[in-house]
Amino acid sequence: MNKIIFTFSCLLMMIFSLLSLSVGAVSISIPDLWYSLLQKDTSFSFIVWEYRLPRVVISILSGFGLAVSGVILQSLVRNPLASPDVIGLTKGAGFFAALVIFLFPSSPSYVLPAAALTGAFLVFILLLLLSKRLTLSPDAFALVGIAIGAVFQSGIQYLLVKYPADINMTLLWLSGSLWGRGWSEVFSLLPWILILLPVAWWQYPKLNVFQLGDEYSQTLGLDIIRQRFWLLLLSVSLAGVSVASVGSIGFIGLIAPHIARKLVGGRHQLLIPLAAIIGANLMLIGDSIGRIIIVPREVPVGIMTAIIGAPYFVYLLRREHKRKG
Amino acid sequence: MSRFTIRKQKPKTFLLSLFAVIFIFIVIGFFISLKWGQATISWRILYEAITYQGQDKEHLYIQTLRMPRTITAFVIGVHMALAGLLTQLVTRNPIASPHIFGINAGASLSVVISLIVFPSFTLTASVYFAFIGAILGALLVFSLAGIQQKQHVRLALAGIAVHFLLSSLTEGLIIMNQHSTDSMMFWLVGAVNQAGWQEVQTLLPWSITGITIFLFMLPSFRLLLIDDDVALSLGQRIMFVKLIGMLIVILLAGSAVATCGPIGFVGLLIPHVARLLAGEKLGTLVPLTGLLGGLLLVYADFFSRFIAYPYESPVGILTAVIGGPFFIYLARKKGRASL
Repeated sequence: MNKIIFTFSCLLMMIFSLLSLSVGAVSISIPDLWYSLLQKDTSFSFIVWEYRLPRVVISILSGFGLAVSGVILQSLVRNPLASPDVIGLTKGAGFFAALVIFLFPSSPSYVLPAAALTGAFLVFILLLLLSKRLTLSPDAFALVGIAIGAVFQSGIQYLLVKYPADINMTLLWLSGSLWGRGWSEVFSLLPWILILLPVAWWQYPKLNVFQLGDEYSQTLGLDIIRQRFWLLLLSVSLAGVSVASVGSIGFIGLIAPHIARKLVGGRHQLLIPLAAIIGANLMLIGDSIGRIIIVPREVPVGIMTAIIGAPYFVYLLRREHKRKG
Repeated sequence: MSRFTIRKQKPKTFLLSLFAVIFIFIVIGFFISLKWGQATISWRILYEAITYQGQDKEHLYIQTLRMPRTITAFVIGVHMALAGLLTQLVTRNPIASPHIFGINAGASLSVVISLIVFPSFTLTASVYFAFIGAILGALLVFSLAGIQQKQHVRLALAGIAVHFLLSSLTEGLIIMNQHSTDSMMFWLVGAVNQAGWQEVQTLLPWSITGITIFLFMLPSFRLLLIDDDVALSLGQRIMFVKLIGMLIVILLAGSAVATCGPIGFVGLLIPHVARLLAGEKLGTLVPLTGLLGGLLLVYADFFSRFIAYPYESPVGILTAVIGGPFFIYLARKKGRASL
């Protein structure tokens, strides 16, 4: 059963990738796409190689990062409603990105992702400080995260109102967009994901134990506080690098782990890879639909993922309720 | 749980002087709010303007801009604080507020949709849209989190997730309609600086309706201070009371958002301050919460004029600056209690 699920979702990822390559302001038929990918001198080669392929790769990588970050957080907080955006990470990253866009609009392109990453790690430090170095209960930790996120959110809004001239660029970044992303972004994201993803997967025994509750994990010999620290750091890094390259895309980190958990259950050795693939799928389909809904303009992928993901999420939680109630 | 500990009722003299002090501060707030701002008005002209004796430019400035604005700020503060108190009572959740519950964001989203789809809509009509959005936001949160008691964190997480979802949709709509961005930003933060007499006129019927029902239902709302099971066994229709409670929240918060955008954190902060000052007795808690809410917003509106002088900053940012740290404090306190 699990094999079927994995094969199917990988297949879906390939289909969505092809779809994402072929649709847009200029739609490319599958045979044309094939030729353009093989030989670089057809009329569509430029679009495919310079515009659409990097987008597809970035979609997949950032989908991986956000989804796995969500899996880790949900296991840490022991609550299926936790996610990088709810806990304030993406808001912190967004605030710093907005600072750069508004205050240093002429800074070189690598500054923006660096600032976003800084913001994510600042939230991490704040979380550590305000949760008494993670000794608070997971519930309190989640609330502190929500509060930090709310504060950064209002910071973002202050900047938006103060500097109305660059508002659209910032809103675009804040809702998460793949517009204009090229190979340089791919290569700045790729090494991080390649390192962090396997590291995250290797943590699966700890994450499995974590789900059981603090007392169990302690009895089983887990140094909770220290493990929490490392797992949180891992989650922040994954979300941080993803957000730095695509903007603060919400809901992937919330929905992808959820769907994956419904399919393969709570064992993290399966949950982490499946959630990653589902996250990538959501990114790909969100980006593709966003490009064709109102040609020639684009709906930012972050908004599309929210629109696609939210109803499904509500449906999932409703079902969970009925089972419990 | 704190609601079971019977706190000593504060002495009457203390409460009376408390209300007197608040009243005085509100009056002072009104005056300084009328006097200072982008332009300073002399006391003489201020007096003439309030008594409608002068017809100069400055008189008109006071009469048509600052007076409605200050009144709107006060009324919005009352709305938000009372809506927050009621949300906390109905959900038994000390960290609840219309802002965290997706009610504000839902109202915002539906107003923005109505403005884009029907650009000729009047303010009065968009209030109804705000109600619909507020109801949908609340329903979404409750369907995500369930209405069981003692699910504080689940409710908060569901609420903030819905809040982010709805406000990201609002942001999306704003991005898609670039020409209207400047005026639309308003719907993300909340500000009173564009409020005129029309806003006051739109707000007042709803505040009278909402507050009247609130006071009328006050004896029943006492039920919300005891456990559901106890109330049920006393033969009370607790679900009905809760439903009325949420209806009032939607009336108050929805109309406030429709006129001034989603001003956050007032509904979270003020009920706690009021509870600290006056204890749990609803008869004093409710008026105190309302007045303190109005007070906070009048002063917040006043100070927001000077954050980026001479430009105005939306008042929602100032309330967030005050309310955000308080939220963190509350989260830590509640977290320790639940350990």
